[in-house]
Amino acid sequence: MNENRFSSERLCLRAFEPDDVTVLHAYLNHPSLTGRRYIPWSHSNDIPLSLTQVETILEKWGKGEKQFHLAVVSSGNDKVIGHANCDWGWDPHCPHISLVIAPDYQRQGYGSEVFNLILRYLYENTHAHNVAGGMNDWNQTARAFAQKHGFKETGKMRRAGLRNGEFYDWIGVDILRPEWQALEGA
Amino acid sequence: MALEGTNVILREQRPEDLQLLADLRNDLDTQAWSKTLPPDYTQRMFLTQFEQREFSYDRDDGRFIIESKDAGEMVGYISYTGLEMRWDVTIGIMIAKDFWGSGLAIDALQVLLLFLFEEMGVRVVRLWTHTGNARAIGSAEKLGFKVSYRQRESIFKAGKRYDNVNMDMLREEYYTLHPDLEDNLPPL
Repeated sequence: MNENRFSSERLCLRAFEPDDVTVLHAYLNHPSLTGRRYIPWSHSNDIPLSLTQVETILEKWGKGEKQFHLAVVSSGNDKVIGHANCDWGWDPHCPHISLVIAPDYQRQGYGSEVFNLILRYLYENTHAHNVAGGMNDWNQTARAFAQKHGFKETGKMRRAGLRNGEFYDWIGVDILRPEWQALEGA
Repeated sequence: MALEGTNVILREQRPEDLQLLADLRNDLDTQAWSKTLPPDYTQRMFLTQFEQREFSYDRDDGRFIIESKDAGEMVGYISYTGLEMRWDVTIGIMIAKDFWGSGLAIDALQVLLLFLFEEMGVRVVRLWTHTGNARAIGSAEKLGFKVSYRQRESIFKAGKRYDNVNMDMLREEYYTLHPDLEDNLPPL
């Protein structure tokens, strides 16, 4: 059994360090991540971010209680290729998770590996009952990804924002412990 | 112009309200969330919260005492939080049990909604409740709110699991329900 709960064959999840600011700054500003950065609400989800602003994000993540924000690191080249968030401040029964993979590393299965690690951690090492997430309705990739991992769409918060002249909604998704266990064949 | 409805006034909090606010928080029936337990709030806790509220023209919340017009009596508390100016906001309400079914909650909500749509110019008003609180869902629906999404089995209350429920009302829905009002916010 792999004793490191936060690593798989191709990647590991580790705490962010100050030196990660450059790579985080680079991929957060990638145009394809506009509107889906999953960073603190205090920072813009679509306006270009300065290095100083990204330092502030790392600082906030580092100080956060009842939450974690981990760097996704590729084992092949030891590069930070994304970030994974989890927040159980409202209730440890229902943590909220999110994940961003840098555009150069998308569609290569990294996101699935991260989700599997996090869901396994939450359901085998904490008393979580409902793991929830969400995405904007135009983010079809994220919706398909969540569905693939057993999450169910539980409705939409209307008028979450405005994008290219159109209102969009925010889709809520969640997966219950028994549903995850059934998928795992437990 | 006061925030005034048919039978209620929404006014600012005052030191003499604080014990009643603690009483509302300490009643398992008048507050919805396990997050706010245990029910051992004191007047002093609310005094601290009251005194920490500082003057600002950049607040994203509003907190009001609901007072009945006829008796001048405090009947509950209504608030909004997370205001994104001219965009959206989340509201909440607690009514003392003696006034359940009196229509005062609906009256207070109507006053707050009018304020938020006409003065704050929001485009969406949201609220949270849960599937164990049919009364709250029914009242919200009566006002024009619709269930938007839920987080399944995420509320534990009175030994049972319930879904956390988010409801919302769009600006155009509000003005359709109130044809006496004219929506003059610029369309997007």
